[in-house]
Amino acid sequence: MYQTLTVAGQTRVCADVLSLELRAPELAAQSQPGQFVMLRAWEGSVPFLMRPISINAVDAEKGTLTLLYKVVGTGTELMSRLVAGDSVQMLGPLGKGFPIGKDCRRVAVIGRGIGIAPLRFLAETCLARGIEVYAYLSAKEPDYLFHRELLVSLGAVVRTTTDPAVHITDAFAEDLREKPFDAAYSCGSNRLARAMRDLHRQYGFPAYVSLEEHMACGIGACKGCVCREYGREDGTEHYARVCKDGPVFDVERVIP
Amino acid sequence: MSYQTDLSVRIGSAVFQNPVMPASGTYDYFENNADVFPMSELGAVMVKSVHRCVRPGNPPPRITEVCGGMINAVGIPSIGIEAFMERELSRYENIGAPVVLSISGNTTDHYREALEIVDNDPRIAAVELNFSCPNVGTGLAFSSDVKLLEEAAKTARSATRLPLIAKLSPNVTDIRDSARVSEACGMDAVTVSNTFKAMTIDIRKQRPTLGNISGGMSGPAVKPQNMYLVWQASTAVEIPIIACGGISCWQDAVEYLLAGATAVQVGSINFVNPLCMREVIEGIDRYLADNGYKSVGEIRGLAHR
Repeated sequence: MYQTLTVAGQTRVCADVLSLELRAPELAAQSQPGQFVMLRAWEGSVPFLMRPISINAVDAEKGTLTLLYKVVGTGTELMSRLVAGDSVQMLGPLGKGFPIGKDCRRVAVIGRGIGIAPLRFLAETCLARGIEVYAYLSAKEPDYLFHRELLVSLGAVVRTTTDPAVHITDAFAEDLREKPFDAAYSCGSNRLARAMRDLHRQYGFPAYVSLEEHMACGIGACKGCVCREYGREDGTEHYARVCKDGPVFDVERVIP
Repeated sequence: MSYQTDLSVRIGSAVFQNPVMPASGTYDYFENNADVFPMSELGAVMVKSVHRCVRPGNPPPRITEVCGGMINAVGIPSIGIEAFMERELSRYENIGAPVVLSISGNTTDHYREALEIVDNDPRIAAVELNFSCPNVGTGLAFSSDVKLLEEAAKTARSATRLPLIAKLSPNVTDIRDSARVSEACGMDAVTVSNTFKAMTIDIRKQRPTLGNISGGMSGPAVKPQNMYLVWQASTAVEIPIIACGGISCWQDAVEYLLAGATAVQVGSINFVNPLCMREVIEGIDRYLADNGYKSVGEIRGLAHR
C-alpha cells in the first residue's frame, strides 16, 4: 500500500529518539508486529531513498500508527522536523513479522536500545492475547530503555540493564531455569541474538531475530538489503532479503 | 490504455504501446511488486537480469546512498536461465504487456547459451543484453571494449531471431563507438546506458562501503551525464536508442526523447516513487497533446535541429 499520510503528532522521547504518530487507519488495521514501513518525509532527491522504520505501535480504534526512531542521518533528521498536519509518503506494511504460535503462553522479548521499538508492538499484541510477556531490555543509558514503564503497566515482567558488563540474556537464562518459555524474540543487538540462540539450542523454544539493513525498495525488488543465510543443507552460499524474507528470521537462519 | 496521442514505439519487430519501461533490476513483479498500478499500463515489462548461471550475487552491503542517487553492487543474483524459462516465464503470460528479457553473462558463450535456451520463445518480445557485466578475461564490462562488444553482440545475433537490445555501459571513452558496433552487429536497439562506476568509503570503518568495493551509480544525479551520452549516440546510429539514466519525472523522459531517444527506461526512482512510471507515461502524453503533436515519434531528436 502506497499512501500519503498525515502526521498526527511527534514527540521527542530522549536526546536523539522521537516518536512519530501518523493517521493511517488502513495500516493500523493491517500491520502485524515485526513489520515495517518505508517512509519519505521530504521533497527532491536528497536524500534519495525512502527510510525503512519498524512499526512501534498501532491503534486500530484511533486509526494511528506510531514509529519510534533514532536520528542517525539526513533522512531521520528531516523526519524529526515533522509536525502535526505535515504529510509523508509511505509504503507498507512490509515484510514478515514475528510469528506468534497459537498455543503460546509465555514469551520473552529481548531488545537493546532503539531495537526495542518493534518489540513494543509485539509485547502489546501478546499481552492482549493473554500471553505472559517477559521483557529483557538493555541500553547504554536509562533513557534508551524504551517502554519500560508502559510494559510494566500492561502486565509484563520487565528486566533491564545499562551495565555493559551485564548480559540481559543472563536474566532470561535464570528465568528459563524456573519456567518454560514458548518463544523468544530479539532485536537491536547481535550479541543478544547470539545469546538467545544459545538458550534456544539448550531449551528448544522457537527463537526469532529482527534484522536491520540499508534498503532501497523495501519490497524485495532490488535485492540490495541481503544478509547471509546459514545452515543450508547443500552448503552453498545464499543470501536472504531482509525486507522480504525478513526482517524477522528464525535465529538459526541468520545468526551463525 | 487510452492516450490522447499515439505513444507507440517499435523496437525491431516488437511494438510497445508506449515508450516507458522499467530499467532492469529496479522493478520486480508479482510478490515483489508495490502493486500500485497494473503492469499492463507499461510499454514493456523488463525482467531483472537473468544470468546464464545460478548465482548468489555479491556479499553485503550491496547498496549505499549518495547525493541524488545510489550505488548498487547487487551482482546479479540469479536462478539461472534454465530455471527462469521453466518456472518464471509462464507467470508473465497474462500480464498484458510485452516482456523484455534481460540476459547477462561473463563470457560470450554465456550469452549464446542463454539465447539458445530461450530458443526464440514467442512469449518474449525482445531480449536486452546486459553488456555491463564484467567479462571473465579483463574484468571490464563487455561494452567497455569494442572488440569484446563486437564479439558478444555478433554471437548473440547469430543465436536468436528475437529483437536484440544492447545495453551499453556509460564507462567508455566514446559511446558512439559502442553504439556503432552494436548497430553493425545487427542489434535492433541500444540502451544508453547503465550505471556509472562508483564507490564510497566508510570513514568510520576506514574501508569501502560496499562488499564488492565498487558498484554502479544511478539516480537523478547521473541524468545530465547520461543525457549527453544519448545525445552523442543518436548522432552515430539509426537504430532506436532507449534512454536509461536518472529519470525521476515525465519532464526527464521528454528531455531524453528530444535528445534522440525512442523509448525510456525508468530505474531507481521506482524504489522511491512506485507511481513514477505511470506518471511518466501520462506526462509524455500530456506534453505531446499540449504542444500539438499527434505521436511520440514527432519529438524524437528535435533538440538536434
